[in-house]
Formats: sequence, C-alpha cells, structure tokens
Amino acid sequence: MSQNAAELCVLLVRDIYGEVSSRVVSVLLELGRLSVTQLVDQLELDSKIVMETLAVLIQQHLVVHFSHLETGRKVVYYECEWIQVYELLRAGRIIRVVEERFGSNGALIVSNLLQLGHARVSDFLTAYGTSTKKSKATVNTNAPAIEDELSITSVDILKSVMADMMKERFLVQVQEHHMHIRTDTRNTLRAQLTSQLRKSQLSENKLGKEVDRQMKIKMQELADGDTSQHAGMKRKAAPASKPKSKKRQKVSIYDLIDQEEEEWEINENIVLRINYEKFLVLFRNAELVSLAESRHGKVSSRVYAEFLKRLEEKYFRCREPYSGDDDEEDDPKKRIKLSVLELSKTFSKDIDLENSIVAAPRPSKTKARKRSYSDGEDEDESRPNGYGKKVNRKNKRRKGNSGDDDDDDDDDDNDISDLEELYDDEEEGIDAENRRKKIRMELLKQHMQLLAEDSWKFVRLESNRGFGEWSVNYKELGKLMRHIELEKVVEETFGEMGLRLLRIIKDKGKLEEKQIASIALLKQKEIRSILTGLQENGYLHLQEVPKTSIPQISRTYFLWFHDPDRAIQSLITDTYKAMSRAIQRTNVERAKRSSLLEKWERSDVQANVEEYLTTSEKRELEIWLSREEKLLGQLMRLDRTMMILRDF
Amino acid sequence: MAAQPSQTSIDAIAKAVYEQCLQAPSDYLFSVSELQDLVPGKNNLELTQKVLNELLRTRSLSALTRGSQTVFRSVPKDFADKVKNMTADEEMLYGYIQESAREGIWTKQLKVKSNMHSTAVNKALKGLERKKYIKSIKSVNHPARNIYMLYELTPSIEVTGGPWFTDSELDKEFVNELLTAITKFMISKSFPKLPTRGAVGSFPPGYTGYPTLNQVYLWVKSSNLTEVDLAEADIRSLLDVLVYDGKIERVVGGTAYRAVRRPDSINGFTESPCGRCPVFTLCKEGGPVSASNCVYFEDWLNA
Amino acid sequence: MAQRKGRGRGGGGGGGGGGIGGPFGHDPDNPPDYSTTELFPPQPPPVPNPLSKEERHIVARYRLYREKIHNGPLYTVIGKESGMEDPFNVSKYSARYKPQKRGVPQLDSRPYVKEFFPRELWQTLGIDGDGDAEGGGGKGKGKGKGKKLIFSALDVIGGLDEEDEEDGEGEDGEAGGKGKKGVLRRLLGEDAGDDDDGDDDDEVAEEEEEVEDDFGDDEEGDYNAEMYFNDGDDDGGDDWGDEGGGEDYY
Repeated sequence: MSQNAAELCVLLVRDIYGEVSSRVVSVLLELGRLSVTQLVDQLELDSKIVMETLAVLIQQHLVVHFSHLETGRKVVYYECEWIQVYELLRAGRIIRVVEERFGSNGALIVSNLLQLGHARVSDFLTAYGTSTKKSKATVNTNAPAIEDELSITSVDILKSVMADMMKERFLVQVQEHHMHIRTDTRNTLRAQLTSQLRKSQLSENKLGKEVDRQMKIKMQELADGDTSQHAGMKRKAAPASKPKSKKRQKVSIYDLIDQEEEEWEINENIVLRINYEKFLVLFRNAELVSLAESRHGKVSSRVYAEFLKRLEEKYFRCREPYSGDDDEEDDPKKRIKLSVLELSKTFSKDIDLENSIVAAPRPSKTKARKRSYSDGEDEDESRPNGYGKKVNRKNKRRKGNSGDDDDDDDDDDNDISDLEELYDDEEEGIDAENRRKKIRMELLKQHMQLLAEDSWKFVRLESNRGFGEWSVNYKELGKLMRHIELEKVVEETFGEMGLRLLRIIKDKGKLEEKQIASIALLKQKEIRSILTGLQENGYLHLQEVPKTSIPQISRTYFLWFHDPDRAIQSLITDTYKAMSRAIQRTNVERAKRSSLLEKWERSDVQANVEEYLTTSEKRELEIWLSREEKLLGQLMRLDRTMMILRDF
Repeated sequence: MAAQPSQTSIDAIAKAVYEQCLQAPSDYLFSVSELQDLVPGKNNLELTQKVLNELLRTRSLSALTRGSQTVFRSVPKDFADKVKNMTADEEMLYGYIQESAREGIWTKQLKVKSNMHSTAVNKALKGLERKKYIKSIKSVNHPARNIYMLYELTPSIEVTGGPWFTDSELDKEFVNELLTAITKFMISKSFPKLPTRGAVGSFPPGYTGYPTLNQVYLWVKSSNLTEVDLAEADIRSLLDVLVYDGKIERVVGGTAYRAVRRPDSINGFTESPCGRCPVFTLCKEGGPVSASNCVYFEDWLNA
Repeated sequence: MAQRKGRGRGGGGGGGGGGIGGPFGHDPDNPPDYSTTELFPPQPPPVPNPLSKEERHIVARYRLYREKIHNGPLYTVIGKESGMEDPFNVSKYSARYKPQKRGVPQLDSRPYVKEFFPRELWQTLGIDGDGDAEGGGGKGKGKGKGKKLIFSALDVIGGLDEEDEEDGEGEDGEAGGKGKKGVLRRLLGEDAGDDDDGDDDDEVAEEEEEVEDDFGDDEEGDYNAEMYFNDGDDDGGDDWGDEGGGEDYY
C-alpha cells in the first residue's frame, strides 16, 4: 500500500471514528501488525483505551487479528485492513444504491449495518422491534393510525428484504476467517494442507503443485462462503396464513422463483455484514452503462443496463483472485451468457426501443453492396423515416415521426430485412401480438449487435441461440475503462496532442521520438516537452538502447513506451493524494469556522436557530455547508475514478 | 596494315560510336568487344583503343569495372558538356551526388567517399552550386545536415517528409485543417439524422455505408480542400491520426471508418483542484504547499 | 468546409532545431527556466460540473451516516471529552448545551459476537468469557448479560431523507438531534428543495418519515448526542432495559 493510501485511510478513520481510532490505525498502517503491548508502547495511550479502540475497529472490520503461539504463549496480533477503511467513504453510495433497489427498508438495513459493522439477525430484528415499539409507545397523539400496522408488519418485511439482500449477496454471513489476518489464514491453511498431503508420499515438486491447486479451491470456498440455495435460511415453523403478496414491496424479477421459497425465512442466528465486493459489481455495471450511453445513446445503454443486470447474480466480485478470469476466457463454455430471448422476458416494456436505429442513407441508383462514392452532397439523403423500397413503393412513407404506435408499419425506422417482413405482415389479433414481440426481440438484438460492433466491445456474441447469446468480457472492459480514465487525465493535462502521443505509443510499442512525430504529424520539437511531461507523471517510460558497444549519448536510441500497469498505478497514487487533500481542505474549512460550528451544535441553538444565529452567522453556515458538500462531492467523484482504476 | 588513321578520322569515328551508344538504354554497360564492333574495320583493336581513349577523354564514356572486366557506360550529351566545365574534384563529387539520386548525399559522406580534404570538398561544392549543377536541400529527418542533390532532381518523400512539410518544416495548420475537415465529413457519414433534434441515433448493426479510405480520398480530391497533390497513403496517415485522437474508429473489418462519440474528458481527478495543480508533487501536509494554504482550492471552491 | 486553402506557409522560423541525439538535448526554442517560481504559480483551477442530484444524494447519505456515528458510542476524540474541557469554559452557561464528546468508546451498549474477537478483548467488551466457551458459530445463545442492540432513532425509520423532508415541519427544530437536520435542510434552502421534486419518495418512505418526526418530537428537548445509542443513561433506559431483559445475548 502506498504512502498516499495510508494518509487517506488515517484521514477517513479520523473523519468517521475520531482521533483515537485514527491514531491506532495510523500506527498499524505504518508499522504493520502489532500486539496490544506494542501498540500501547507506540501510542503512549492507556492500554484500556487501546483495547477498547481495537474492539471498535474489529467490530467495524477495520482491524483484523490472529493469534500466534510464541514461546508457549499466545500472542494476538492486530493488523489494519486498509481496503476496508477505504470503503468507509462508500457508505453514501452504498446506502443510495440499496435505497433504489430495495426501497427504504433495504436502506434501513444497510445504513444500520454500516454503523454496526456486523450484527446477528435476531439482535438486529429485536432492536428494530424495540425501537419501533418505543416510538409507538411514546407516539404523539397526532400520530396517524396506519403507522401501527406499518410497524407491526415491518419486522416481517425487514426479514424478507434482508433475505433478498443476502440472496443477492449484498449482505453476507460473517465467518470467523473474515476477522482474521488474511496472510495468517492462508499460511495456516497451507501448512495444514501440506502436512495432510505429505502422507500421500508425493514428490516435493508434485506436492507443491497439489498444495497450490487445493489452496486455490479452499481459498475460493472461503471467499465465496456458503453458496447453497438455502444458505442462511431456515424452514418456517408453520406455514403462515397471510397472503404472500404482502411480503414484498418491490416487485422483483425473482417473483416466480420466490413462491417456492415462501416456506423459507432468514435464519436469525446468522451474523450479517455488508458485502462490499458485490456492490462493486453493481458500480462497475453502472460505469459501463454510462460509457455505452456516451457512445450509443440512451436506448442502447438501457438495453445494456438490463442485460448486465441479468448477469449480475453470476458475478460475486469484480476480480476473482483465485480462479483466474483467464479460465473463463480460455474456455468459452465457462463464460456467462444470456440470450436475447431470455433478456426479452424481463425487459421492461416501457423502454422504447424504436427510433434510435435509423435506416441507412440510400444511394438512389447503386446497390447497397457497391457503395457509391458520395461527395458530401448527398449527406441529407439519410432518411430517418425511410423504410426501404417496399414502403416507398406502397407510397406509405410519411414525414415526421411517431414512436407511439408500434403496430403501424408505416413509421418504422428499420432497415433490416427480417423486420421488413415482419412489418409487412398485416395480420391482427394474436398474431399481431406475436409479431410485436418478435419485432421487439429483433430490436433488442440490434441494440446488442451495436454494442458488440463498437471497437470497445461492450458485449461479445457467443452463439446464435435465442436471437443471439452474448457475454461480457469484464476483464478487457476493465482495462479499457482504466485506460479511458488515463486518457482523460492526459487530455486534460497535456491536451489533444498528449492524448494522440499516448495512444500512438500504446498502439505501436516502443518508438523513437522521430517516428512518433511522423505518425502523429506533429513537429518533433513540439512533442518533446509533452513526452517528457508524460514521463514525469509516470504515464510513459524511456528505454535507452545503445547502438554501439560503447555507450555514448549520440549513439543511443531513446525508445518511448507505455506500461499500462505502471501508468495506472501512478494515477492511483495521485488520486489517493487528491482525495486526502479534499478531506484536509474540508477540515481546514471546518476549523476556520469552529466557533460558529460549536455554537450551532449547541442544543439550545439548535432548538431556536432563528433567534440564536445572526444573519451573517447563518450566511456563513450556509457557505460552510455548501463548501463541505462540494468537497465531499468531489471526494465521491474521485472515488468513482478510484473504483475504475483499482477495483474493476 | 592499314595506314595510320588521322586524329580527325578518330574524332569522327568516336563521334559515330558515341551516337550509337546513346541509342542504348542510358544505364547499359558496354563491353570492350561490343564497342569494338561499333568501330569500323576488322582486327581494329588498335583503332578501337584510340577511339575509346578519345571517348573517355571527352567524357563521352565512363569506365567502370564489372568483376574483372572493364565496361563502359555512355554519358549523356548534356552531362558530357557539363563535365567539360568541371575541375577534376568537381567531377568526382558530381559523380557521387549523381549516384545519390533523389535522396541526396551528406557532405560528410562525400568527404569519406572522395577522401578529399574538406576545404577542397567545400570549394568543389561551391563551384558546382554556382554552375547550377547541384543544389543544397534540407532533409526532414536530418535538418542539421548539409545535403546535396543534382540540381534538376526533386527530393524524395523521405527527404521532404511528404506533403505535410513546407521547407522541411511540418505545416501544422495545413495538417490540422485537413484533420478538421475530414472529421466533419466522417461525422456526417457516421450518424443518421433523427427527426427529433438532439436525439442520438445509430445506423443499424452491420451497416456498411461507412466511408472507406478510398472514399475519403476521393472526397478530399473533389472537395477543393487543397491544391496539394495528396496520395491515398497520405489520407491514410490523416485517418490514422484521427483514430489515435479517438475521433474515429475502424469498422467493417478494418476496411472503413466511422466517427465515434467521445465521453467527456473529465473525471474525478481532472475536476479536482489537484488534477491541474502545477505544484502537486510538492504538496504535503505541513509543508510549504498544503491543502490548508492552497490557493487553487480557494479558487475552486469559489468557482 | 470546402474553402479553398493553399498550404499555409506559416512562419515557423528557419531554425532547424537541435536534432541532438537523445531527447534531452538542449532545445533552443524552450530554454530551461531558471527564474525563481512562486509557491503557487498562477493557474486557473478546473471548474467542476455542479453536483448532480444523484451525487448530492450520495453526499447527503454520507454526511448523515457520519453524523450518526459521531453521535454514537464509538466516536472518540482526544482531549475534548467531557470533564476535560477548558476549566474556565465549564462554568459557562453555554457549556451545558454542548454535545458531549467521548474520550473512550462506550462498548457496553450492545451485544457482541464474541468468537469474532480475540479472547484478550472479551473483558473489554464486557463478555463474561470463561464461563461459556461454547463455540458453534454463535448458534447457541450466550449466557452473558442481557445486552441489546439499539438503533439510533434516526435509523429506525427513514432518516435517510435528510433532503427529502417536507418543508414546514417547523416543530422538529425542538427535537434534539433532529433539529440539526432541520436547520441543515432549511439552510440549504431551495437548492435542496429542488431535489425533492424527485418522484422517488414512495409512500412507505413518507409514512416512515412521519414516524421519525414523532419519535424525534418525543425526546427530551435537550440535545444529547448519546441518547440514540446509549439510552440507558437517560429516562428511556428503563423501557429498553425492561424489554431486553428477557432475551439473553451473552
């Protein structure tokens, strides 16, 4: 972990959990694993405070531990799980996305779990019950009556939302190894496996390989947890008589499957926590969708969004550390695919697929195959409404556009022969309905094809089954997204020329300045400073190749090259730094107004803001709040970049 | 034995032989026996020798060696005339310069080849230049070198850098104007026009109407964009640059091009005050440049 | 665009440029700058796009999350906890209204899953460890004292809709911690109000908000940051304690 990442983590812990916690984290990040005694020495704090703070940090999964036997004595070591610390700043994003998916109940669950670290389901539910009961017991006279019912059903609803979130892996059961230092877990496991396998009398070489192989499997199992169908669930004691429709507020696509699961409910004994890595799968999809939108517009991007959403459950995390993505790439059978036919089953009918794919401009004389050269005068020949010769012949071509009536074959915009036939059928009734479905499917397929044709390869065609089966090469797309982020930074910092040079070097490999200039059609002396700037930022590197055996500057080739990993790493480090600065600046802004903010926090002031605060104080407060929002907003934007660079 | 031929008759015979040699392709190499055939009479070796000497003396022929044989090449008339005006040094350098054809030759190489002293070389080059037999040219690749070429030749593309160069200097404006024009053309051919303003549409998948290299080339030719004679390869260079700029991409199996929409060049980093900070590397908490005294942050917050 | 244009023979100067071997050759056109530079060379900062509605939501959620933790039992400061303030300040009238800050986290306010912690911390957590060393992935219930998880009132319901609250509920100003949010919202003024136009408040959320308000109203007028988690100290402690007593968690 870089110095910059550590700086950020300490700032974050301080921002959320206060100074004592941040000092503990700071020492752990600086020195690595430590025992309580060592920590106390380093921190010069009371051991009671140190232990209490450790307990807080463990509860929040920010610190992990492992006990070792040292000279017959157990010594517990503590280590900071810095990546988990980083996740602190995603709380807002996570609550927000859950709110959208699971409604306010879901948000309630994650919001509390984020604060609690982890909690046993039964504790959680009791707390919820208690809190709501309390609120009822002390409810004001003007409380609406419905509320009672709401609170009573809430616990059940909560349980089922929780179960859904667990099934979709947004929540996971906490296992003991989650709390342990990962390297220790791994080492212990390896030692166990080795001693077990040693009995099988394999050669050292084979033994090593076998241990490696089994380690992969075991580590994968640990990472995935229980993936059986009813993991974390238990059978309901007695079939409840209440109508099942009450169970779910948000209608999900799982409704069909869910009926069978009526008799199952969440096991209240399990302990749950937020599963950050699953949220990253969502965030990655969202970034891809916005990328697709920038290239192909809203409609195609919505098709893409729906498609990715359907694949989502198959992806536990963005990067698989144990079973490499390579397996998947090597073996097309292992790829996760979905057909247009499948997609169309859940595809929202509200999404208007028409009118965004437009007939080609039709050269009047020549056949489409032989592309007649157009000299720029026929630009306007593109006829958005033109639906090919048939329509023309029938004299049905209309001006303007109506997207509201799919049935009317006059105003369709597609130039695909399959569609032409479909539209030409003029049957009614059931056939018409079928035809509509078919048209829709054909349109879905076209959007998928557009996404596949893009040089960014948003999807990949796997087979022609079910109107085409598609998969997503997340690994390549991840690389692409990272490179795009880099390009943005290069373009903003070094202008269009910088972008051009970077892309040339990336494409061509190692090049001399002279060659770069001639490909880029730029002056050699003009590009020199840019190349040097790109090098200073770590986006380009220079290799010296002597022409002769005696190194001499005039007899040396200087070859520029781009190393994506190093470039991205350098950008990540800078991004951490920028994030830290945003938090530090927020602290500075806060400190500047500390007496005002202290006043504002006072309960008597809170109770009567109008009276206690002067106009200028209120204005200053407003400035503070909007500045803080701006800075935090920027922090979240930086996090978005960080996700792409580091996590996807 | 025939009578001793007079010098005048030798001159006449030499002239006739030379005329005949000029009929052959200019780079044809004559062997001694072939030349002997052109000289009248039989067993005329002696005469042939005299004629050859005369031809070599007047620079109408030049002697070369092929293997162990001596062969001869005819020298064009005008050149032969020129040579008459040259000093020996000039003539030698002229030969090397002539050999270098449209690439030209660097003075340093001339010195090496001729094994002449540099003042002699310079003197000879000056003389040749004054007589407009050679000229000095600039090479894009080696702008600092003194390179010479026959006066009547045009430098090759490798030397001039092609149509993008004016006086061996890249003509940036010219290139940029072409890039902009082609981008516009590509955009006009890559997206359908939608009835709704501002709506984003696409041509159907499998659409093959995107412009090919040849079509872009023909469009540039007919568009009066420039008088400069651009080859298809030049247009390809321009399209390559646009691909590198991320403005267009190759489609239809690489045979055609289309314009692409580009995402904003902004992200969390570039929008941050730090993303454009000239002293970012110096910035450190507690240092002279830090978040607390940062003026860029203040400007940014007020923006 | 087809304007006829010869090759613009722009100046460019005659200098052939120093084509010296490496890329570090001295460039006559860009001589190195040896002048002293300012600490912050003038440079216009980037102008960021205004935050989108969604981004503002995310920020609002983050702020609220942070605020809840700050008001909770785990947030600790150094040197500022109650009793450690400036002695001259304590006597001040206003000091009574200051939210209390902790020097140490208050851990006994909730149950723990003890097998997730190293044994050396059990005592710290208030777990009577040695008595019941039954593991079993926490399936069995411990025999510890009846500790109960307690949510902050803000979390029980809504609480997420800091910006989505209806305006005009003036009374929440009196409701302890709630008031802060009220002010915040009010201070953000129409800006935040704009966000409300969103259709995303579904019915349930709205109803729940009301619960929140009622709950808030119900608390003592005095601001007490601890009341949400650490109810035991106050009047509410009895209620919760009573109910919780029956169910054992460690």
